[in-house]
Amino acid sequence: MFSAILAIVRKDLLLIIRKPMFSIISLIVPLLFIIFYGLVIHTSSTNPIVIANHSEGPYTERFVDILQEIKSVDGSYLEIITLDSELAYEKYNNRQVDALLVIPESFEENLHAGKQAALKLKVFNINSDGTKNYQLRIDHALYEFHKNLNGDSFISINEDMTFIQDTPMKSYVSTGLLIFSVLLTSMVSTGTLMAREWEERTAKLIVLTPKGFLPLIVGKWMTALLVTVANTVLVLPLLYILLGYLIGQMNTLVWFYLLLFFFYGSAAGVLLGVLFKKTLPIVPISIVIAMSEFLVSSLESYIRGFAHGGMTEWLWRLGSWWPSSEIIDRIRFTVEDLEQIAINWGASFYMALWVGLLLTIALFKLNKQLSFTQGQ
Amino acid sequence: MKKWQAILAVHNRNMKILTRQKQMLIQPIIVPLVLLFLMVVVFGGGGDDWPVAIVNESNSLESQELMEAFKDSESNITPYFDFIEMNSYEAKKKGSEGRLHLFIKLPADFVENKNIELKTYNINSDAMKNVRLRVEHTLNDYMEKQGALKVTSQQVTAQPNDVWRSAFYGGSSVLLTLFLGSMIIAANLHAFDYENRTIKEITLTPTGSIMAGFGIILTSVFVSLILSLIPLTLSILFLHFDFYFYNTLLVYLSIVPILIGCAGIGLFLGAYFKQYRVLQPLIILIGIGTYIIGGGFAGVNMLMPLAREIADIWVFSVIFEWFNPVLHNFATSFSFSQCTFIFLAGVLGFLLTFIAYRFQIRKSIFGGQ
Amino acid sequence: MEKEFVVEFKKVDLIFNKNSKKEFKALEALDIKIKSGQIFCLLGPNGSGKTTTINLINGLLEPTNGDITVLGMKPSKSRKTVLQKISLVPQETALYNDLTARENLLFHARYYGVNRKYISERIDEVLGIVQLENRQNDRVGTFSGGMQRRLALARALLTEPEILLLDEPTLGVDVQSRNAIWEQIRTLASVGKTVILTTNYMEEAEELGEQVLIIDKGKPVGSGSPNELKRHIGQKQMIIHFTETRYAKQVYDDIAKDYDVTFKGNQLHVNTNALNNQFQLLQQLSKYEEHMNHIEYSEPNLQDVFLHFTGKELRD
Repeated sequence: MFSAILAIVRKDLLLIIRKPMFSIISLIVPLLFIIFYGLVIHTSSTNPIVIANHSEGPYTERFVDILQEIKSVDGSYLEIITLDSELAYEKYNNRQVDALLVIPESFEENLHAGKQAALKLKVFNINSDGTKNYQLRIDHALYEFHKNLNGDSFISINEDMTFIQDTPMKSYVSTGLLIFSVLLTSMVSTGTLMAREWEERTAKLIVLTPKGFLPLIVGKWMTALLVTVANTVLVLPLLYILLGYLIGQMNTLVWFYLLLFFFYGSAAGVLLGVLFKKTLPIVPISIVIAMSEFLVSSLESYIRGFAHGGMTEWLWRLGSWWPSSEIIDRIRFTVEDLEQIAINWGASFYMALWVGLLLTIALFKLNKQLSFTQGQ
Repeated sequence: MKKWQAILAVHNRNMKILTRQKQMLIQPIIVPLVLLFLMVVVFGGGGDDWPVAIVNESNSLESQELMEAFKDSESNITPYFDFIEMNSYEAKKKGSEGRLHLFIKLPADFVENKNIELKTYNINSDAMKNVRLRVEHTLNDYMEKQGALKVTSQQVTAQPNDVWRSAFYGGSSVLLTLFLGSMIIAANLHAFDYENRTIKEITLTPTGSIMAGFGIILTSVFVSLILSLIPLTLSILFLHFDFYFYNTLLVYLSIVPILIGCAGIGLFLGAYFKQYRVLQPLIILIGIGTYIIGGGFAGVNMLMPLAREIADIWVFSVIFEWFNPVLHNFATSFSFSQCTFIFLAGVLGFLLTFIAYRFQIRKSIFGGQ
Repeated sequence: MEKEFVVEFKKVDLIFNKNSKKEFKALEALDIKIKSGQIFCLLGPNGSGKTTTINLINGLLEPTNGDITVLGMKPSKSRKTVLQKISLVPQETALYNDLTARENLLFHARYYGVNRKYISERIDEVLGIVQLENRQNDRVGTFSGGMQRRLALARALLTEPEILLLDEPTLGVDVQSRNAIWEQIRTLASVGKTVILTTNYMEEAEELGEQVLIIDKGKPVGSGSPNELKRHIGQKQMIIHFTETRYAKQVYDDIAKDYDVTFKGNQLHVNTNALNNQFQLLQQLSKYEEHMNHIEYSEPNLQDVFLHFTGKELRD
């Protein structure tokens, strides 16, 4: 049994080395996805702006300081490209930036004299999201500014947070991306390794050895595990560099959960391979499954708060019913050091059951196909 | 005359292939639509209203006014809040379970202490930014009304109405269908010739293979123009997309040379890689990558510095950066330099066709097939 | 009949999708008896059920009715034991194109569980048998069809099977390779291996088959050694070629009353089975000598047998 498994692994690794193009593509796709995501995720935290400052004095200085300082755990709220008013106008008018904040000359005088000062925020409103984000950020700066003015009628906020600190969106998403790449790689590699035996028409002969196909499946899983580990080794530093993911916090439990996701992906891969027996449809289907897991399961704890009504609520209910979302949150909380949580037996068992089900269907399908090999 | 006949013959053949080999059309239809669907669902295609719980425990005129301020608080497109829960017990429960991110309480001593209480389910910074900043925005509004705000801000927008985020995604999806469509259809048709070994037959006709290339360009541009009507219609119907006839016509006419360029690139890639299984992921990746960092997901100006620099080098970003403003009526014409670039893109398309077929012929003669 | 039968089919039926609309009788009332060390040939047109029969022997399929024993066991029940003693060379050769010949064999030997100590030795040996030692380190993708078949044969021999199942072993192979494969099959039979092969080439059955079973549309239509089969339908004929058709006609009119003869253009075909005295006929013919080109004798071949049993309609 063991030597048969090893024979499969050796052979498949040799084939991968001989024709590496496909494996390289399947390694690169999750990496590119992470890079793309890493490049756009800043859009939700930091917005570029130019400031035309015509005013001078202590109030102005303090306000400009606040504009520069306001931030979330993800980083500054504003990326101030310039404070030079001439350059600011030029950049805004040439459409090199979508927002311009004008601090008028009267700003300092008015505040000094106890009068009301007015700012002007010019926005290229081609996307309502951007308009809203600039407006809210400037409001935040104003709120912070007034905090320090000690006005009697200033309304303060007391916040009671559920978790001791906010999880930065970057690392919140990173956990999802990590799961995405584990799932995608394990699914694509197991699926294509299986399908290839049919594409090269070698499956029948393997079945006709006294060893049967159990060593075949286990062998494919081992090869896929090696590929998935290689992929994870590439993904983790990328998550660390691009999104500041705290890879040092990953403990044994996290690795156990990742292994569970590997089994899930591989079981789905075996089933896809057995069902289609062709490489071509396996890749897009795996991408769809892994993407859905990323968008629905990995974002479940976020979506939960705004999924009230419509398609979003429907999707959320689907995600909350799935074991993945629970496990991904466990990984997240462990990595963020929010809670020290023991293994979640319920979700793990549910996941194991799911893996078992996928495999059973695959085995059933394999057995059934054997008796219908007429004329081949 | 003969040449036109040959191009049209190839075009007719291509149209038959495309209608019979439906999988060749699926990608340029599905990829932009799936991307559009995901963006709308995940990044909030609806308005800016955030579901929250709010409870007023203070029996005062002031707290009543603040409640009104919360109700009236709005972005340029919709209210900022959607009050899902007003019952204190339920609000607490939903807040701690994460079913709501924010529970706002105006406490009994609101008038004396000038303080409100927030209970947040701070699952991540993005949710918290959204709820906290909305609250501060509302408090500013309230204080302004009370005459307590020393500094106010007035927003001046480039156009009277904001383009809804969903409409922006919709417009980008139209542009993505156009350029991804023409590129991938050209590549697929070329690969079809290769995989079915009809390339030799075409090479040996007296009119020459280059006419087949022009036929493929014609088909690709024509089909992608038609396919793009799908996301356009969906955007108009469901995504708050304001349709400007003149602008849309201008976009459709002036993008043709760029589509010729893209089809030329598709042909070139087709000649180089030959097989569907390499071509398709490659071109889809180019398409999605351009969509994400080239101004499809959000204008390049909104991206982080590194992404902006990449977008500056990545020429495909002009498709979103130049055509989206026209589509949404932020511009009604193209500058001279833009026109020149667009013209050159078309020339490049023809040039690449020549190169692709040169390459092809040399390969197939030495390939011995 | 001292030798025991290594493979025996008794009234085997195989019905796919039984009791449904798509019910399809793949095999009907099939009786097969194969002796140890024999070369048994299943001859039939495309889609006649040859591969299905092979799949019944190796246990991939189970008969709907009837009994199958292979080496004294039921293959569908004791599949693993049976599989240890038989080897299949499938139609599609089932080789990995991106592995070398040796790597292909190495993989199979390891997966099959050939004793580690002897793997290398065995591989050298089987490569020798199929004469591929020189190409053992080349990738199979560069091999011709014939070489691939030989390699597949070598792979089947790795595990020292008692029974070899060859599914269309020379399909699409050039003459040289075909002869080599035939030679190798004969050698194997001579050392006591039982060889069961399917083919739709008459010459192959004629050349190799000690016992031939012709099946058509799942039914056995004829069996026996090639000679027996020929005798069964066979008439020997004397064919007389004339210089012109009119002379043939003239002779025909002359001898038709005495002999079983048919007139075919410038030829006359005389059935010699019923002929008591050839010399008498030759004497009669001698007066037409100047109008005759030559005389030939023809024996029926398996092609006639085959067409006799299966008819001439086209199979797809």
